Amino acid sequence: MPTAGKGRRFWTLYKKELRELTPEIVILIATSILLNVYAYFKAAPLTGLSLTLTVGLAAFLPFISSFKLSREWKNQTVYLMMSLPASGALILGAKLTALMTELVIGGLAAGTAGGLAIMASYPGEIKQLMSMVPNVYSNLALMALFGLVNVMFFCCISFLAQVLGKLVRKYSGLLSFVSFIAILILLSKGIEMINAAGITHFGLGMGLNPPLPFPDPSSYILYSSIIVAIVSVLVFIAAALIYDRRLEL
Amino acid sequence: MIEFQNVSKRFGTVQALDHIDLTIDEGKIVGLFGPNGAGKSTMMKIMAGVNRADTGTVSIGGQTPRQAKEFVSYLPEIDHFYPWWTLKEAADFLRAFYGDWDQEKYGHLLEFLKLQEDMKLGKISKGQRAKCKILLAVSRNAHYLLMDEPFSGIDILTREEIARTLIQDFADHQQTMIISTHEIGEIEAMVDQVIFLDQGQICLEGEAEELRNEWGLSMVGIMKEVFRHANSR
Amino acid sequence: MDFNKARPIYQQIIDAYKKALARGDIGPGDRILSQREYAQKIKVNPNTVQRAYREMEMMGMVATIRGQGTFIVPDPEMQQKIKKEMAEQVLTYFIEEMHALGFKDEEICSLLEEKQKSSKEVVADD
Repeated sequence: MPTAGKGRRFWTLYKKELRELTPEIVILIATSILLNVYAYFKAAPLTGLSLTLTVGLAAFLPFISSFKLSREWKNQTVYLMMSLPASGALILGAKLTALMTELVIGGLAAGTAGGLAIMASYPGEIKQLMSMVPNVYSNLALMALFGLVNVMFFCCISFLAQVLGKLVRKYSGLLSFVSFIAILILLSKGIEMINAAGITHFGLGMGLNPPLPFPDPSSYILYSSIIVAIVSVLVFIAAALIYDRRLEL
Repeated sequence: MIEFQNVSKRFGTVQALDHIDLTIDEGKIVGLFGPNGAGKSTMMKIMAGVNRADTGTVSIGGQTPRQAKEFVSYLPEIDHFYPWWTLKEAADFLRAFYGDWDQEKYGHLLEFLKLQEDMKLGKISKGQRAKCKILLAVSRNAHYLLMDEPFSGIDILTREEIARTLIQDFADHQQTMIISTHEIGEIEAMVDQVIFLDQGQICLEGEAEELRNEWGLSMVGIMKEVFRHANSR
Repeated sequence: MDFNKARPIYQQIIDAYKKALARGDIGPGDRILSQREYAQKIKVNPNTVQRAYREMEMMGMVATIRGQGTFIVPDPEMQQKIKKEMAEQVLTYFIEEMHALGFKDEEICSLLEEKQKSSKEVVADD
């Protein structure tokens, strides 16, 4: 009897998750286009704001969507998910990948629409600004990576907090909320400390400012991104282990 | 073979299962009978690997329930499919997870149960949904088929169709089927082995034909007797 | 088929076949439903049907030919034997019950004759 492969199972789960996120993705694309087009035609000075707003929404919405995990319990679909021959890592991994897809699509939509709007509004200024920043594209990519790992960080904590909440029958929402805040504060403090070491290492500390109008902090951002990514993976593993070893209906 | 060894399970203050010892042989249709809240669903959930025993061990074909998930088809009492799924989407989903999915059987049963693939699971009648659940559960040639109250809320004609479907399936594949219900009359002629459960304990267990012979009563009659004694304890 | 669910079902299956045979609804050499078909038709556990068929084979009532199905043994004597056997059972039960009610053998005979006469009149009146 051929057993279905892990790749196929993951793809099937991922497709299902993506389908559940479709409304959010549509909202992100629509908002990005509408807001930026409106800003360009009706309120040109506000294109910077519309870019920030839509990029912010694209980063924020996947985090909100991550709380859909708890809905599996409410809709009783958790009976299906937990009876599947699929590990917590596979199930949560598919959910996380779908959330990251939402982020990437939303981010690209907001970035493209906002970027075009702002360039169309201030063609000269943007050109000048861009020529002043060294390695503008690689830095943009780095910022995107930084954003991605940070949203992933929040989503992983959200998963862990929700899974922890489901360990109890009563007040599971409250436990999720408290765990979320506690884990977030704890890990942020830890990351801050590691980052502090990084700031000194990469010469970005107080009084060590390079005498440039735009210092190149790319190494530091990359360093910080890697730290956040590693912490996220650890949080994800914890959530998957609890899902496999402790969770029940 | 499914084995329960000294299995207990507690939910808060409720003792759902209380020191259960049980052996279920392969190739049997087993009726798990008892009133609401007797612990039937809990036994099913533990076998399906979605709940854990507090103490004791459960083995399914020599494996833990979590390892055996691939060989177990579990039909819970509640609606466990995404309401926005069509029947086809649900089937496609399950097919990716179970190597024992039988597409031919699925097509055949689809016709027999008069269901359409484009039906949206959240938008059909309760009876239709119950038929969809049965279809999706038995379209696999799973070694173990666990059905928790598969007849609840279904009209009599549909029940008969479902009973026929199950018998046909059983005759073809010699699975081990465990059916829990509080309405014994529906399936009493279908089962080999019966387990009467009350307040988390097994009151009586045995071969249906032997019990009929010994007691001179139907399963419904035996259950009434057994529970009267159990409650006057 | 309606079962009396208070008696083992395999026995009732055997009895149903015996009755059909005694009445002549099925005859020697006839093919009967496969176990699977029968189980589905009457919604009974296939293992129970299997047990009934196995017992009927052991009793020499039916024979299963691989790939062709299950047949009533082509032996007219067997049919007569079963008919007699079933009549015997009914009579034993009847006589025992009548004795239990305090009737003597001669009384039973005359009661039986009376009953048969009145039944015939009812039939003639129809």
